[in-house]
Amino acid sequence: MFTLIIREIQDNWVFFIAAAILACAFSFLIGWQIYFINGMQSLPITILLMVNAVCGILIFCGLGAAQMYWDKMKRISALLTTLPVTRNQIFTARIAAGLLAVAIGFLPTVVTITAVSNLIGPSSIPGVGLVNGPTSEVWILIFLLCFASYCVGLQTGWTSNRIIPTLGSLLLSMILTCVIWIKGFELDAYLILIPFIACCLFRAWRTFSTAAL
Amino acid sequence: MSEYAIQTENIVKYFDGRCVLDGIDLKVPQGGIYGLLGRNGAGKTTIIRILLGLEPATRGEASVLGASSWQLPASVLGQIGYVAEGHNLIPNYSVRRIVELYKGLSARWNEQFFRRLLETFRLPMERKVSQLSRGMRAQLNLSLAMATEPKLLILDDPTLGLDTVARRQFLELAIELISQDGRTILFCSHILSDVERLADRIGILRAGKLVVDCELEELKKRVRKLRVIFDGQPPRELPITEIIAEKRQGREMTITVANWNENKQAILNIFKPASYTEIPMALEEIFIECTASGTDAAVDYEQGEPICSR
Repeated sequence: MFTLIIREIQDNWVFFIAAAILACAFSFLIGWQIYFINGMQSLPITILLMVNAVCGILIFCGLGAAQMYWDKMKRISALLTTLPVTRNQIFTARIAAGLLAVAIGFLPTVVTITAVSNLIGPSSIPGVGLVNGPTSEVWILIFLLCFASYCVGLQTGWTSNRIIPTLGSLLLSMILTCVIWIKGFELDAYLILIPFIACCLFRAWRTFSTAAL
Repeated sequence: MSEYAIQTENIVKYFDGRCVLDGIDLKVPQGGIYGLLGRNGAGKTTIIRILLGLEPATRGEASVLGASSWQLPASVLGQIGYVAEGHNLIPNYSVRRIVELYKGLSARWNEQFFRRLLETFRLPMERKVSQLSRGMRAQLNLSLAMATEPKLLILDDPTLGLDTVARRQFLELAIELISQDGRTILFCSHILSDVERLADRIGILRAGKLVVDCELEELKKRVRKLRVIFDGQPPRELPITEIIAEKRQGREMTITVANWNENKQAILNIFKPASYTEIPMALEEIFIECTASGTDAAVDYEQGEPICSR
């Protein structure tokens, strides 16, 4: 399993690097915004969060779509399944790599904001009030949103048509993000995101496990 | 464990409404070398893909080393070596990376044997797979499959793209592998002399049907080619069953018959031929007779009547 996860990371290193760059840039920007320009923000946190979410969606969606698309095009799984590897193991390794990418793009921001808010106090963080709900819930929802985007990518990537994985997954992710954003980062959002992720994963797994490789 | 390494029951496969495999019952005994032959598009690769779980069958059951093909567990996959037609290796990987991937994922890995193969084939480790010639890709694929020390080796036209020397090297390696106890090999090739040299059992696919499935020696014994010369014109129709092919030229008639026996000879004698001689047939000739279309008598076999089966 470890070899399979490493292979997924090596094959899609561009997305992992992009996630790390996004996380570092955003962490720096948000830390700088909160800590140094405390109270006189030039950009509200909400806008920064939105920019980050859009970039994250692009990256994670792209990762999911790329994993499935290149697998089909280069017949990677056709080769791997002739070794002692089952389709389920390939799919699990793929998801594990996706979760790792989401974590790379997400955790540094959480750590930065938590650290800064501990230093200056949560009430001093400008713009947080625009995001409804407790902070931990907001983080969990953003994480789920990023992961949902990844799952949409997985779902649409298993095709030989380039247009579908690129535009289809982006469109779906953007709609989902808008719904969550309008609805607010509250309990209701879980009711949308968790079944959505479950459905996407099930569909992607079903497609992958029954397809001719 | 079953006495058969590979067993299929009434495998049917349709592609876009077109029947590619039509009721295939294939049995490959443990420790045997089975040569699966057929013209392009006869369904050889499809059978192999079904056996490996890469393609679902429309109907029927297939099992490999006692496990259902569609859901082969990792433990069984670890005992199978596969060389795909066209040598499907990940094109953007370097040879070294492919080797590392195989090493990391294989249940067994014979490094010493693999090094020997690398030296024999002189494969460049740093070059990308896409930059290798077709022959080099074939050599790499063979080396990888053989280094995993498989209990069952499935070779789908493995020598395709190899030059004469490399082909000979491969055959010698295959013979070495075969000499190790208990190994089973399913071997598809268009080079019939290779199959004749290696296989002890032959299957011939024609239009999605297995028309021959028997031991090579038995096939040679059962399929006979006769040159019959009559005093006058040859009879318009010979009432002999299982004629695979027939050709007429003046007083001469050449027939290829399956399951030649005394009864058939007695029927031929009724027509009082001036003489008849048996023409020895190599596997290649038998294959051509069994698979060539256009011969009148071969039409009987379009219905899937086996020419030679267990």
